[in-house]
Amino acid sequence: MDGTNILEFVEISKGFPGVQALDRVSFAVRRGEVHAIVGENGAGKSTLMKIIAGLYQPDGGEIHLDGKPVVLKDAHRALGLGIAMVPQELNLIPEMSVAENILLGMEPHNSLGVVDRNRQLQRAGETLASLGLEGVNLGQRVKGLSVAQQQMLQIARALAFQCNVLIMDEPTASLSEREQIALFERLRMLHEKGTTILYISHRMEEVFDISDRITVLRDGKFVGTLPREEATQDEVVRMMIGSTMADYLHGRSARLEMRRAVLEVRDLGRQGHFHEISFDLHQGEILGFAGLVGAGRTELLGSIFGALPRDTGDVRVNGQPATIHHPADAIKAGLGYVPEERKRLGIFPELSVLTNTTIPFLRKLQRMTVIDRRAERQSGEQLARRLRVQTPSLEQRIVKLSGGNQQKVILSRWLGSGADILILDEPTRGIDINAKAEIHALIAELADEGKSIIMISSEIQELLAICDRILVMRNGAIVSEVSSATATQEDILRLAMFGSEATLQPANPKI
Amino acid sequence: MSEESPMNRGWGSEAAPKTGWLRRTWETIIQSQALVLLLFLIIISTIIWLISPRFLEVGNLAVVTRQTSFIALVSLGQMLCLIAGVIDLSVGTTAGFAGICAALLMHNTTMNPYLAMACGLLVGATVGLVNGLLVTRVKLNPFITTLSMSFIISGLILVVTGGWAIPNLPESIQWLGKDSVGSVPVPTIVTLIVAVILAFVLNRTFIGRHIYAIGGNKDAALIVGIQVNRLTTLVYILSGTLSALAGVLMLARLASGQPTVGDTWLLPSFAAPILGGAALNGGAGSVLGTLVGALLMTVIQNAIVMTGMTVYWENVVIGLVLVAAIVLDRVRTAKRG
Repeated sequence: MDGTNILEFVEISKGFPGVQALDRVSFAVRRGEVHAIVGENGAGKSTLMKIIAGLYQPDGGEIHLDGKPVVLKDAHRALGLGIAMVPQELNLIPEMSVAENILLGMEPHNSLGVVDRNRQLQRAGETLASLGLEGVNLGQRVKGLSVAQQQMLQIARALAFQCNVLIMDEPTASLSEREQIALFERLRMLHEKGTTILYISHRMEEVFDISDRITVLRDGKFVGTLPREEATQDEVVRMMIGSTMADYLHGRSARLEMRRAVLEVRDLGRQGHFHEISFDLHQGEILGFAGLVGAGRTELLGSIFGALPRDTGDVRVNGQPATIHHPADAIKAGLGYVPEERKRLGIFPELSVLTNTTIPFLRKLQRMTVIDRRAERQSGEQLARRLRVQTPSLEQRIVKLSGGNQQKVILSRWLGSGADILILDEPTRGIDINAKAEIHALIAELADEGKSIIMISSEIQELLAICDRILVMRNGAIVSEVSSATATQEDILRLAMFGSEATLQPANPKI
Repeated sequence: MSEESPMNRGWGSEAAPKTGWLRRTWETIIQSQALVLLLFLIIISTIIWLISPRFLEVGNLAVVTRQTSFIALVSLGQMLCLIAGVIDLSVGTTAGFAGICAALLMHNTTMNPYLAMACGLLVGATVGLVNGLLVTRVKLNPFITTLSMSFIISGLILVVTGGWAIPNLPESIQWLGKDSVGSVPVPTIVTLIVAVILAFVLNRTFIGRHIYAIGGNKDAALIVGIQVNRLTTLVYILSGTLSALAGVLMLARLASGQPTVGDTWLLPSFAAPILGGAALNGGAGSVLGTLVGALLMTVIQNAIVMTGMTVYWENVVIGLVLVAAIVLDRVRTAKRG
């Protein structure tokens, strides 16, 4: 660390339809530091990283690398300049070996262009060794590796490209605690060797564990950069949410007031299932529902969507009272729903991928009561590409797809229907680990674009990694609200099991 | 990153499999139940023609297509029910009852005979509406509901006719059943028009898609915002109306109200769509397949006459064909796995 700036952002702006994701963001990253970029979902941190990695182009502003302005027109260019990103959704080639993946695109070869297997293995081995990973089977196919192992490979690939800036986008979302510790060890090794690391997260614990300096973004704007030694968790959280934790959890924070409430639920009840449920969902927010099985989460959210009955209560969508008696009403109001039971409630097994995709928004695809098949196909292709649905063709019967791909098709329905509020019930249950990471990334991306998301999961780790706020339900009632920036798994588990009367340690007593 | 960047992996980047049009056409033929059935129909017809050359005379073909049209209409109604994942056991008796109601109106009142026929259609629609409401709102089992409805209606037919035919109907309506345009019988033309409209609605409108979706997975259909109850009721109304149309066309053909019309239509109404690719557990079926299936049923009946077998074999053969159709459905389901 010599104190000079390796990267400088000057007035970077980026807009999506309806949302200003980044608004004249300026700050600098020093050579060799671990620089954390924190903010809630929709704060713009992922958008900013995609700009550095060359995946998005900014609408305005400049990026300076080593003091000189650069244009990062694509990922290839960024890589050439030594900037590599390890995305949330890992992009290794499952059918290829570990060694092949590490050196993909830069295979050692002789003058005839024939790949030199021995040198390939040797160099892959060296790269892994520099990460402290010896004894890895280089010939093994990537398909069978865990997310943590794939992440390591992705980092190795970045090193093989001689990168000196490494971007890690919420790397712990799909990792176990042990894997997370191992990852941090490797990152520290890289740090000691002088690699600059940009670390994106919204989890205070991780950020304070690993970083030298912390930059906070809120609603697309730069809030401030603090050296870790001078910062406290309270301060950073306050910068992230624009108010104190107590105000934040009661929906009074500056940030939540700036973002209007898109869904207001008041006093919802159904005999024997849930009672007196009230909460707000804000634009661009990811709201988690934690609780034990049978706590009434599925019944509650199903009733908000009109798929299950309720006895009492009101729902307002975008400030307007919404009378939702049937899913059709909910869809008209801009809601989308991914049910927990994919087989029973999600797919039409014998129908094609295309039909399964477009079924809720056929009315948008018709001209004079006739379905415009070309428009339908275009829409289907676009969605399949965006969600990277893996299928031999859109005519394939959906039942032939893997669970993860089926789930992507179900999610894509609601992107196609233009839903602004998505209710996801256990969206990653029973799907393979790569699809899971992809869906995590998609959810964050949607929040960045201004969509609002409610998510149920029985994996508390997943909720902490993805959500902004988490509501904990127990016996049909909401017992507590926590912020995922500071809450721990134990806190949430205790609330889910014993309720709020239990000896709750406030996540952060000073706030 | 190389050209084969995994970022582009997946469906979007892969080119469509390149096959010749000949191969594609062949695959379409193999996959289309209707076309396979058509092939089968041609083979059977050839055999019959070898035994009895009169089979392919224009006169006989007109008889066959005219007969087919009645079966085809009730089969199209049944097909809609099967696609939506329900069944209608009252199609035959509804046809008879609609004809009897129209005949009574013509016989006992001075009502315009065409209006009387329209009333017959309305009767069919009403029966369908009642079936639909019982199944979707009262949540009764479709099988028992429509079976009971069938009994009620056949009882009503006997109550109002005393088992006697209603004679002396106006001659002005008979062209609908008896005449031909060129050598194509009028009922055949009516059936083809209905079939074209139905095919269009099923394949090109969201209502058609929604009906397939309901049969494919009723619970998932609700989640994507489909009005399952309303559309299922609509399907029953259409089934009742199409059956009634068959009934009043038969009335025009016979020029009298026969209480036994439609008694033998129930089994063919299942055999035709299932032979044509409709699935017993819903979500599949095609208009073309159903038409070819209905034609096959009639050809078999006609062959019994033409080859000089005793007509009492008819029921045996129809029963066997239905069993064959169900076996086919079974095989198809098993193949889907």
